[in-house]
Amino acid sequence: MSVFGMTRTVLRNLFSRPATRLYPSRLSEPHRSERSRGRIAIDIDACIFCGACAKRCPTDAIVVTKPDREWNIDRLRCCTCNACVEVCPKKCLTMENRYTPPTATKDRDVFHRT
Amino acid sequence: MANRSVIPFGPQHPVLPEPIHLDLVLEDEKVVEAIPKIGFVHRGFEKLVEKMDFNELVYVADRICGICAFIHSLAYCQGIEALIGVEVPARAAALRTIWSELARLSSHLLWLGLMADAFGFESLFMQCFRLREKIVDILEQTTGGRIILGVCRVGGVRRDVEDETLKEIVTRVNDLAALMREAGDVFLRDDSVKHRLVGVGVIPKEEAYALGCVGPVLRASGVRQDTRLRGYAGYGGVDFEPIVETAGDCYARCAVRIGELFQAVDIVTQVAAKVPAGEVAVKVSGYPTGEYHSRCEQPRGEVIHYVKGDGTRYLQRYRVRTPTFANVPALVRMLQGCDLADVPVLILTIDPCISCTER
Amino acid sequence: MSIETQRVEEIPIGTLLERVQSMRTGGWRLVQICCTRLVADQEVNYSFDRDAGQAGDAGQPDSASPADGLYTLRVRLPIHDPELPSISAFYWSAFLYENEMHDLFGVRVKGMAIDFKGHLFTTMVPTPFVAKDAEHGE
Repeated sequence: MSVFGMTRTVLRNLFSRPATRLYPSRLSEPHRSERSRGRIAIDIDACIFCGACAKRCPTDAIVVTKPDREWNIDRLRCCTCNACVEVCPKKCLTMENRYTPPTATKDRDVFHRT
Repeated sequence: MANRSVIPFGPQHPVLPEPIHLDLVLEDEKVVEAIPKIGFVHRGFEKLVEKMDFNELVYVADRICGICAFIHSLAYCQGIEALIGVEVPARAAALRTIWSELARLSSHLLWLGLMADAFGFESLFMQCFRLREKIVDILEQTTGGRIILGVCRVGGVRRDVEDETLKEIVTRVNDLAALMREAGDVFLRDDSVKHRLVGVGVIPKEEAYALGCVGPVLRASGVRQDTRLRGYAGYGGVDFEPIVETAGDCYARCAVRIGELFQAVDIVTQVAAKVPAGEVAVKVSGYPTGEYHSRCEQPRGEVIHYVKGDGTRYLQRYRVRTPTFANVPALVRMLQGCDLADVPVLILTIDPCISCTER
Repeated sequence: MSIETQRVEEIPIGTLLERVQSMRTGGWRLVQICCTRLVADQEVNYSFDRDAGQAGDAGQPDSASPADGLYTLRVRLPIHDPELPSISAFYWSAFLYENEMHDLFGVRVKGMAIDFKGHLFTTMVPTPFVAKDAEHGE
C-alpha cells in the first residue's frame, strides 16, 4: 500500500532553501529578467509630441497635449502591452523592468518639456 | 422516503478556483440533479469589436483568460492572418509552438496543484506550484510577462529569442521533467489519491462525444481528438501522439494531463532543435474580409475564435468558444449520482476556466 | 501554417431540425452556435465537426489524420422578433449556447433543455448586443 510517496519530496523541500522570497526586505534585488514588462519611461527631451503613442494605446492611458508640450500617463490604466514603445518614431519611450509600486491615489504621471 | 434538499454550491467556495454556481439537489448525500449557473464574470469582450480595431483586439484576446492567455491570442492572430492572407515566417511559427507548449506546462501544473488542493493534499499542491514557478520564470525571461505574455501579433511574434537561450530553456525544462515525474507519481500511485479519483465521474465514450466535450475530458474517455493534429503554427513538423485513456473517470483525466506534461517537454525539445533562422514578423497590410473559425488546442481543449470581417478596420463579429463552455454540459451529467464530497473533485476535473467561458 | 477548409451552407429555418438530425446520426459533434447581428438581419451559425474514428453510421474506416474540416449550417433570422427551434433533442449540450443567444441577442429559442429564462448572463442592460452603444471611434 503506497501512501508515503510524497515523503521524499517533503523532506527534500524541508531541508533545502525555500522557493519563496521574503518579499518586502528583498525588494531591491533585481529578480525580474531584462525583458520583464514593468512600467513605461520616457525621455521627455526627445519627444516631439506627435501623439502616435496615445493613438495606439489600447487602454487610453497616455494623453499627449502638443501646445502645452505635455505627456502624461495614467500608471494604473497602463497594461504594459509595449505598443507605444514600438510605435514611437523618436524611440524616446522605453519599458523598464521595475513595476509601478502600489499607490493610494489615481494620479497621472505628468512630464513637461521646457 | 429519502430527504431531498437543495444546496447552493459556489460562487464563493474554498475549493473553487473560479466562480461557478451549482444548485445541487441532494437525496441524503447523493446528488440527484445539478443545475449550473454562470455569469458572474461576464465582461462582454465580444462587444469590444465596435470600439477597437482588429490590431488592438490582440490585446483583448490576450486578456480573456488568466491561465490560457497565449493560446487565445495565437488563435485570434491565426484567424486574422487567414482572413488577410498572410503567411507567418517559419521562425515565428516555431516560437509560437514553443510558447504554446510552455503555457500548456504552466496550466497543467496549476491544475495539478488545484486538484491536490481540492482533495486536501496541501504539500502536493505547494510542490506543483513550486515546479510551475520555474516554467513561469522561463516565460518571463523570454517574453516579459508571466501569464499575459503579450507576444503574439498579426503577422508573427513581437519578440525574438536567441538560439543559445532556446538551448538553455530546453535543458531547464528537461531537468524539471524529473521533478514533475515525482509529483506525477504521487497522483498516479498514491493510494489515498487513487481512492478519491478512481471510478468517480465516469463518462462513457459515446456519451462524451455526444455531449460535445473537448480536450483531456474527451481524450480520457477514449476518443482520439486533438486540434494540434491539424498542424497549425509549427505543429505540422512535430511528431507526437495524443494521449488517450479509456477509463473515463477522474483518474484517467488526471493521467491524460500528466502525460501531456511530458509530451509538452518532448515537443519543446523537438521544436527548439530545429528552429529556422529568419525574421519573426511580416508586415501586414489590408483589412480582414470574410470569415474563419480559427481553432487551437488549449490546455483545456479546443478553442475556437470565429472572426468575421467586412473589409474595414473593425471586425463584424468576434466570437470565442472556449473549451470549458463545451465541457460544462459534461460536468452537469457527471454530477448526477455522485456523492456530495466528490463535487469539488468533479468540478475541478474538467479544469474549469470560467473567466474564459463567460468572457 | 495550414488553413483548414471550412464549408458553410445556408439553409432555410424549416429544414434546420431535419439537417441537425442527419448530422447527429452521421456522427458529427456540435462545435458551436454563434449569432451575428448584421445590418439588415441576423445569422446563426451551427458549426459541426467530425473527428477521425467517429464516422457513425457511414462506416468509414479509422483514418490517421482528421479528414473533415468544420461544416457550418447557417440560418438567417429577421432583426425583429427572431425565433428558433431548439436542437436540444439531438444535442443536449446546445442549451448553453441557446441560452447565451437569448440573453445577449434576444433570440427566442423554443424548447431548450434547460431554460434559464434570461438569467444565464444577468447584465445591467438586457440583450446588450442588440444596441450599438459605441460608434467606431477612439
